[in-house]
Amino acid sequence: MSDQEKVEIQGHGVALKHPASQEEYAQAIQEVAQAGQAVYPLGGGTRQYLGLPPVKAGVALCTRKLDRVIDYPARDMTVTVELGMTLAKLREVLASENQDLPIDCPNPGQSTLGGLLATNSSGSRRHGYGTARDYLLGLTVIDDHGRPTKSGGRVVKNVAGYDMGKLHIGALGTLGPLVQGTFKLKPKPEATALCVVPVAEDQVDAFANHLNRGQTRPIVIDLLSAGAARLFANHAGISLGREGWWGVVGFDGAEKAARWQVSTLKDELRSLVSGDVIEVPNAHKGFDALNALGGPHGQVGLRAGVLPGETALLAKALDNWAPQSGVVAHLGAGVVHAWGDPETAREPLLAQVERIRHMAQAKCGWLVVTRSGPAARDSRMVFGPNRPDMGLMAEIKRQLDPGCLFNPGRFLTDL
Amino acid sequence: MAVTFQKDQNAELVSSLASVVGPDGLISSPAELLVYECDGYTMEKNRPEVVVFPRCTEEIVGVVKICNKLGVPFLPRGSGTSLAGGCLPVGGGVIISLARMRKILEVDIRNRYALVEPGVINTWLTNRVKNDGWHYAPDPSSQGACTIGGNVATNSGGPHTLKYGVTVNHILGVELVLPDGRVMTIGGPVEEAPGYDLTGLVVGSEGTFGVVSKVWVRLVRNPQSVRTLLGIFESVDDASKTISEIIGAGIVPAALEMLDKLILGAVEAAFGFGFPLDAGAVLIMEVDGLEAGIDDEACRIESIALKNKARKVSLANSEAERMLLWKSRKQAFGAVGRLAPSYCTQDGVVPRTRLPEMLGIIHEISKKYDIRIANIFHAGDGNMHPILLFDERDADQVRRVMEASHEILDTCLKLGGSVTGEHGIGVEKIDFMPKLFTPDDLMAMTRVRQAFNPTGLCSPGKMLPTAGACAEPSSAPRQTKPGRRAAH
Repeated sequence: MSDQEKVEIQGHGVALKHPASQEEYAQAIQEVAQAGQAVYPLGGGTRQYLGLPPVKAGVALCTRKLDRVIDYPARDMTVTVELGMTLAKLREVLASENQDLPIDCPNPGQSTLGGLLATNSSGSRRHGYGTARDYLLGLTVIDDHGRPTKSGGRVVKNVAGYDMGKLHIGALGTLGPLVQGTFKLKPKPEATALCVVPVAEDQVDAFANHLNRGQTRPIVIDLLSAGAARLFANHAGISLGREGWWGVVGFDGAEKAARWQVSTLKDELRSLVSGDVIEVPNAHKGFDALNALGGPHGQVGLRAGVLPGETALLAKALDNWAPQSGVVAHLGAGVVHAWGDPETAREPLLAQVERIRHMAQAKCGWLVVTRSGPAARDSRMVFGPNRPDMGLMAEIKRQLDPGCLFNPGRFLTDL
Repeated sequence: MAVTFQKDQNAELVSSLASVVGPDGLISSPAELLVYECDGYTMEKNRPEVVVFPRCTEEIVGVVKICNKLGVPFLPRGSGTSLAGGCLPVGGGVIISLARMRKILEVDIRNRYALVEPGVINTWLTNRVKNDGWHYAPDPSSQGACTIGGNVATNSGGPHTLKYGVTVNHILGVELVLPDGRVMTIGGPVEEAPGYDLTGLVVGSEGTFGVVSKVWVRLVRNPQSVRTLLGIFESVDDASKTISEIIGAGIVPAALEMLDKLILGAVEAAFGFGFPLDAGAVLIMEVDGLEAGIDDEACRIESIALKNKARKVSLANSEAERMLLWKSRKQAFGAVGRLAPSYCTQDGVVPRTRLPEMLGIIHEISKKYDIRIANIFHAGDGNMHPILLFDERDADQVRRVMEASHEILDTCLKLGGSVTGEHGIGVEKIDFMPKLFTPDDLMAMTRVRQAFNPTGLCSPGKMLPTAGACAEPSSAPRQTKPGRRAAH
């Protein structure tokens, strides 16, 4: 066993295998199951910090070698691929037809499509483009007996059977590894534009409320704290020249429409915020910089969901929640993520998290601790209290993976 | 295991239900129940024992618990517009009509959602928020009659789903009365609560997971501008090539709908829009978005149409003209009575680039079985609605319609498509499920259904073939195999 390849998952060394095909992957599952061990599906390994640490001896089965294009009928605007393919590689394939799968992640060169689905990765463009659930048309999963099971299909309209794909998105691989999928695609826009604007503390609400009502139709409406803005500016290669909150508004579409929106945004915000709207010179670099904000910064990471109208308030409440903090609020979706290096010597992490979770819950929301540094993780701390519908989820898990083969103990209680 | 209703339970059932919904909250006389023996799919009929009309979640719970106690099958029904037998009471039992739960409970524009009862009619939602500049995007053609609860059950589509997505993309959460009577809140106005996406799973589950008692829907801002073009073509072939080329050019129109000559005649007689009756096909091509650039996009579409031999491309000049054009499309099925006493419509999907080929095949099938077939459909996403015209009093015509339908759907599958884009499997297409999915695929879905509906009392005989897949031992005649019954 000493020369067995291993991977570290949340501080635990786990044996690692790289099946070269879907058939080999299925065979490997059967072998691991027969050995009474657990299967840990693994893509690019960029987000194994999510969920809880492994609790059982097992084998990480990596999907990276499952990276073929199965079918790409570009004129149909769909693509079927093996899900060990990275997002970057998929985009290379799609570039020749000027198409895109507009799901954002911080590390497209390493994150696999399967991993993006399993973690429900999304970024700033979710406001204009939606998330993974809006693009997955068909899915093949390998079940606990090593059998491939599929749902959906390869066409953009299809309601035959249950939409099992939705179940697997964000399921952290606990219902089986995702090996092949069909995605709906979008044409790449003719033009993109990204604007940033300094927003004073007492203007944040007006900024957030306005963009729901103005003439423009942004694809990005973000609010960045000073810490997040600094990081963004570094990546985007710009100088902001001012500490404090920054609004980020993105547009795309026809060149005329993008230009009109930038100019209209400037007009509309003139009376609402005291700073000037600045257009980021290299919009693509700016969008990349926004994506980079989704990476694992700081020791501790938090992710919260609230009503869209409450997002700015939660963001402000999270400002400076810990030293070295950053806060990114996706104002249209109601999702906030934050990072920092809390001083757990003074107050245990759980106590700090509960205070912030209470804030989110007071706004009908939820909070997940995506990363917790050296602090021990359990379901209660990471995901918060159980909800009644989690009993249904546990029953689904029991039906689809009765032996708890896949990622046991790594998601909510009983999942 | 089939679940059926035993006739001697009737009196106890009716009196128990009356204690929950009140004597004016149910119907049980044969004459009144006639209306509920089928839905928009009239080829299969079966009368329920009782139809109840709960007014609130608690009454639904009471009804479901009684059904559990007496071992009686039950199923939810909205407006009964299903075209696949989704509301057919297989095995008899109780239909839970949501017609009396029709309140819009909450509208929150700032937080982009509304909370509605399941019996709210689809268009009521948009009508409620349109003055604020918002709308509810999924717009099935039956939207003036169908309910939000029904839309959730079938994951309804409509013309504008081409750009805006289908129902599941616009449902944030539901309150669900589970088949055992427990009430579960799934999702809600806040997105992505930790856990599995049960909302995404429940949408499209065709009533097999319980009775939806509330729905949180996503609201969407209206586009700034709209341009609606009408393309007149000499042939269906030219029109379908236009569609493929528009999509292939990377344009995402708001809607792309086709009507062929046969349906045009009926629609023109009914609505008097001014369609030319000698056209082979017309295309409704709509783009929406910001005013800046929209005319360029409309021009690109016009050029593609003209390049593919469009006789003429014109623009709707006013909102009234635009609305009449859409009325002619959306209410077209209501005009089919001018063409034949009965019709059966299919809901097959093919990849968009295979549309010209599929339309040619439909034409050949029509000749082969000597059944006229009109075509009206969501061309932009390859979702076809061939309307097979016949007289259900003629058993031979019924047989030929069945065979033609099967051949159409089999061809959709051969071309890499699906047998249902938006109407659902219901009972009509259960036999196709083993053609779409392997036994392992179906077993996984069956296992998921077990998590919600372990006794099988809720909506039996829907969507998933039962083991053995032969006729249910029902008290009313019903065939699960392709042969349908003519009306008697």
